[in-house]
Amino acid sequence: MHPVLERILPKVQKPSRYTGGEYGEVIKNKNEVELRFALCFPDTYEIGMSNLGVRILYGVLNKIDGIWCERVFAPWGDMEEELRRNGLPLFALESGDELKEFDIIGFSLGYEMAYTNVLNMLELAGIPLRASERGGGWPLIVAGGTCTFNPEPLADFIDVFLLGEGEDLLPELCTLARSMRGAEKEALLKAAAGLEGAYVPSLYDVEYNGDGTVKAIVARGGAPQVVTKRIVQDFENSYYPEDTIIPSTEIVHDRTVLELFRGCIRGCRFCQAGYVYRPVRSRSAKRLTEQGIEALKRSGYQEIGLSSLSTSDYRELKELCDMLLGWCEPKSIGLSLPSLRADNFSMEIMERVQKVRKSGLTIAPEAGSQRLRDVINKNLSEEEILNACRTAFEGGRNSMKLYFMLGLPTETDEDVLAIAELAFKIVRLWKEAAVNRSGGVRITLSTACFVPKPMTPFQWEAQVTAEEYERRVVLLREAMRSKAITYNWHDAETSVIEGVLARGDRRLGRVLEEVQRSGGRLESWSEYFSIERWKDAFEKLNVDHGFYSSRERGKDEVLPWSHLSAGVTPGYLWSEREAAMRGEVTPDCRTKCAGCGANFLYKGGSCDE
Amino acid sequence: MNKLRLVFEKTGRAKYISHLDLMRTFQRAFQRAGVPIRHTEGFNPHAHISIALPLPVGTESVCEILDFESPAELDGGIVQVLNAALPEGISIRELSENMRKTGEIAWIKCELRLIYDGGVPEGAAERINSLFKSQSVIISKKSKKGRTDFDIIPCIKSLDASQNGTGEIVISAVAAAQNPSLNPMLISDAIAKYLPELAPNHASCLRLRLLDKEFEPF
Repeated sequence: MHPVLERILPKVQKPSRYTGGEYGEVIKNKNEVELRFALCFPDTYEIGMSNLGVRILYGVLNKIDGIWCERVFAPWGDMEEELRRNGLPLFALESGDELKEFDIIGFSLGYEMAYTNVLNMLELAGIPLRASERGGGWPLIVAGGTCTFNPEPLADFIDVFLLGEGEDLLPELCTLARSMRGAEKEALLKAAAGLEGAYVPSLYDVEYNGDGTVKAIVARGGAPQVVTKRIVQDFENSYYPEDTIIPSTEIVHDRTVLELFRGCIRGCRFCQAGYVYRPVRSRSAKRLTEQGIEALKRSGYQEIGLSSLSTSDYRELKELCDMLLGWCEPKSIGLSLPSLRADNFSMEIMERVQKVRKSGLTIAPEAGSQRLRDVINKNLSEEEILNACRTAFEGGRNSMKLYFMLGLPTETDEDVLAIAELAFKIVRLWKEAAVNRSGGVRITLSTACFVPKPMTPFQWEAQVTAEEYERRVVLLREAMRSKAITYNWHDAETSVIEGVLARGDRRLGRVLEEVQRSGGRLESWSEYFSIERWKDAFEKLNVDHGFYSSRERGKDEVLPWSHLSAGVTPGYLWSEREAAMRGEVTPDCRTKCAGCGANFLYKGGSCDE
Repeated sequence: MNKLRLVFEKTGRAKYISHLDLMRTFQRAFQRAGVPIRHTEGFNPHAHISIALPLPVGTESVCEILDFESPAELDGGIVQVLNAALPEGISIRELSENMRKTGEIAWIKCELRLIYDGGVPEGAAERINSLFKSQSVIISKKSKKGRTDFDIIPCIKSLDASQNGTGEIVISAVAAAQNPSLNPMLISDAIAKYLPELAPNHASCLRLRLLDKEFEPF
């Protein structure tokens, strides 16, 4: 260990997240590998190590001879201060070597609020932030993840964005970099742009109209005019990290995680993941059971969780749970099922799985009125919600969490008040259905501010302003009629910035730089987020943030991400937007294919089979 | 159920693993190694293990004790199996025959290293030795009720400081293990308080051996 680190660690909180040395860590001889890859997660160790994607890519890269992939996480504030004070650059956990020594640095971008962390981590590593200031001697900086479906605010800083699933594309990029060692950076970038799914932002010129909207995005140097994301064609047989790192300190999701399927059949119109991860591809229950048992044996974990965008839609859910429980129950290993729909089938499965522990139940109706739930295509009726609650109460549960969004397109005050009404109905239902009423019932209701995301039917909509969101919060708060209901609301300020970055363009690069320079980092954490820092930066650089967040876009406007594709056609998104405005629902993909276009990516098969 | 005891060391990077995290690490290591172990009852059953005298974060040790119960007849072969399932720096030394109650551990022999970047100040070892011959050495100690004054002299059976090379003082000490215990790093704090010119740039600590109240090896 670095002698300076040795002196810093006794002074910081949770030092073991900075040491590496966990069970399952991959160590290679750095003199014998050809390419060193630093997999960077722009948030803390506890968050990053809970990310299945990070574990998959770590495994995929380290399986390859000649490549050593190591991990880097964002330091907490106290650690960052010590690193800066002692002049110790940010380092990778496996070797302890600083980032400058790596060939490729890859960031995982899951959340817009992590953007300033990307810049901060580069700065902590002593690497120039702007791609144009990094010549051939510097590591190649790449990024992947959900945010890359509009990565434009980071276009000035990242050399290559990797769109879609990285299992195949990332190794291809590494192979290319190995074969072109010593080549000019410009040549490497041009070659990278030829990989399907790779987006090299410096090869695209953006022109603007007088009103600030984008006029045109033009590809140069042979780069494709539209970059389409990559998907794993054979998900059944694709890599799963049965052998993975077991952290020596507690992380957020401290369990084995099985990935049931990718994509989602539901088509909730607000949900970016539901659109950008199409088409739906599943793993068989037999394969998942094998993977789960193997991963549990190798990890020693006492809990296994099922992961997907909508667990209830997994065709073999009952069989999978039975097979897993058959192995887990005698060993006291727990099975957890997140993301269940509030329908009868799912409730039955949950009762079966959670025989021992009656934990709280969470339902996400998202909107209070049926009208608005139809607008967002959340195919969930009030009857289904109340039935789920009844089953839970009759089963002995006395608490319930409810998630909603405020600021959804077309939302009126009536829709807002319907949230309070629904919550009150659930309280009344409890009085009827509860097995034991002595302890009372606890309904926790949360609202978040809706943020329109790229590549969804709501990508053209105006986001409500912070003031309007707060007005609706007050309206809802004052309509609550029962002491059994606790109402928590997320602040709107983070959502405004998230909204600006989500649909922003390249001109926001300067804002990011300014915010980072004035101390912005770890901004997904309320203790570090400062709206003032953003407001100051917008003002200083004369940027109107409302232009990005609270402005409705026209059908023909060139969106900053119009040269990128997740496979779903813009025409389909617009037709879904129109259906939303008419309050019409679209059936899920299993009931009827709506022709979104993502199936054309799936060369080896058809969706959801 | 058979009661068993392991002696293990926790060194290098692993010294930063907290007691609670160490418990979890061992619970998983037992599962990985397939060593049968008694589980707790209740909502979240987990492998039942007990580690005596929690080691402060940042302190290394070669004499830690872990007790567990197993329905199986186990032998020394589990040492190798468990070691293959443990992270770097945590390593089982032996399956111990000694099943005395851990309450009988009274003292701990340890070694403290004080690092001076600018070289050890003149006469440092002698001055440290004479400081700890005083009637009392009071330091302020963090407790649940805030900071309290604490006399560490009754908790130190013996202490010997000597210079090692030009930049390091090594202190061998026998410190109280429990009721109350003394975190040997407080010896370095006491030096910084009473002899501020001898405050080290860095200090580290290593637990060497557990002793009973007769100062015999536990």
